[in-house]
Amino acid sequence: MRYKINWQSTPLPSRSAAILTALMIFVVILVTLQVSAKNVTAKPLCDTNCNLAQYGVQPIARGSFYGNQGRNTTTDPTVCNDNQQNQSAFINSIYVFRNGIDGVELGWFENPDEGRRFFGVRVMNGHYERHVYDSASPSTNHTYRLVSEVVPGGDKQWRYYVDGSQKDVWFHLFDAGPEIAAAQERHSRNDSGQTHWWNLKYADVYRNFYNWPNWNRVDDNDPDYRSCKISNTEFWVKTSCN
Amino acid sequence: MKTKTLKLSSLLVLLLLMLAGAFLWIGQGSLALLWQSPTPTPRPSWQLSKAGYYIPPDRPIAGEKVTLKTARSRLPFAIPLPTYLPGDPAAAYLAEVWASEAGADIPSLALVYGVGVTIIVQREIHPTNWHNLAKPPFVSISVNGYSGMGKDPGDQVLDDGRIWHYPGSVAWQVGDLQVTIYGEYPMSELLKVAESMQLQ
Repeated sequence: MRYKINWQSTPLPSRSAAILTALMIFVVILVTLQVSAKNVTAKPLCDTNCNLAQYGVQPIARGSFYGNQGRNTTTDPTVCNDNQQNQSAFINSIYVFRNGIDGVELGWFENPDEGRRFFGVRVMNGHYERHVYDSASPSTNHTYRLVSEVVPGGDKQWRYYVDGSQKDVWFHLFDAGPEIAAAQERHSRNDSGQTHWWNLKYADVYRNFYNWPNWNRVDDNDPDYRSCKISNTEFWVKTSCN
Repeated sequence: MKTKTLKLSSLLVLLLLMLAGAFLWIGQGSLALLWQSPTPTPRPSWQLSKAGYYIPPDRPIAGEKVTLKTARSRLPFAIPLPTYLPGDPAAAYLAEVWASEAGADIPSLALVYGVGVTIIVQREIHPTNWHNLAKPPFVSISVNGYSGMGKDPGDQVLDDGRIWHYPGSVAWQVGDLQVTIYGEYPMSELLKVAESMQLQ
């Protein structure tokens, strides 16, 4: 059985009361939905939310560089994994930047899925490619070297070496970059670990390697870590330089 | 009289409830979203990727933000300005000019336009073998008779499951100048920008 209001015969106060009740129900539903939506967004996913973001500390040298090299110790960092499909990563790498978009990168990373591995990256016109190499043991020292080569026909190649062993050859748009860097990077404030880079060298046009010149600046957006300069060719990344 | 008072008080209660709802809505930022004005210098989204590559978000090249006049005095090549830009004509203005230092080993220039197009010009003394570089998503192109490569903007799933967004781009080389145009536009639009530039 369906109930129907006879609008014509219903007295005015009752009609107003009906409209009012309907509107009040509508407003109450609207307010309830708004409040519950607010609560859902405010609630943390779990107690150890990784809160992924990108933090990095990297000294940068400016000039004309045909290669970059550095030596680094693999550590055993704490890397956040909140079991909510949010996995962080801890990365140590050297770069040759062509500009703010393109470059080459070589180093090691640790993340909960892949463990601790060596890797190489090419970013070309904003397109990203990463190759993952062998696994890396903790507390071991490794030398990373990126060096370019121009071969007949206009092919500009970048060669990726770990401890003298060639891991990759990638074609690229450039053979000399105006900036080089060595970096520590982490993707959550819940990640912790420190970094030691030393024996930093660059390659000149003849592919001879020399000590890094003076740093031009340090790109640092990490609220917890500092670059602790030992010399032009050596630095630590720690929570405090003392 | 009693009925009239009842009606008035009911309407007052209703008004108050509606006001409460409206304040909650505003509090959620919905109104701000509706009235949000465009930023004068749009930042390309691909500068803020969370993938394992640190890109300084505010520096398109190794250099400083300068005026067009200063850039002209610093660089050993004429600055090629486009005569065509895609998007909103009201935003088709040169928002930023970046130039490397005078006498830099690798002279570089970046032009950032209000429509979200960034043009980077860099000296590259060796010719470029575009054929070996133009693998998917890149395709071979020709800009005013010069070879190059380009791609539409898109997303790629990295081997660790992360999503990386890359911009649309068109790159080519004339003599020792390599030019790349970036933007969140189809490659066909960026090609029109490229063809409107005169490189000397």
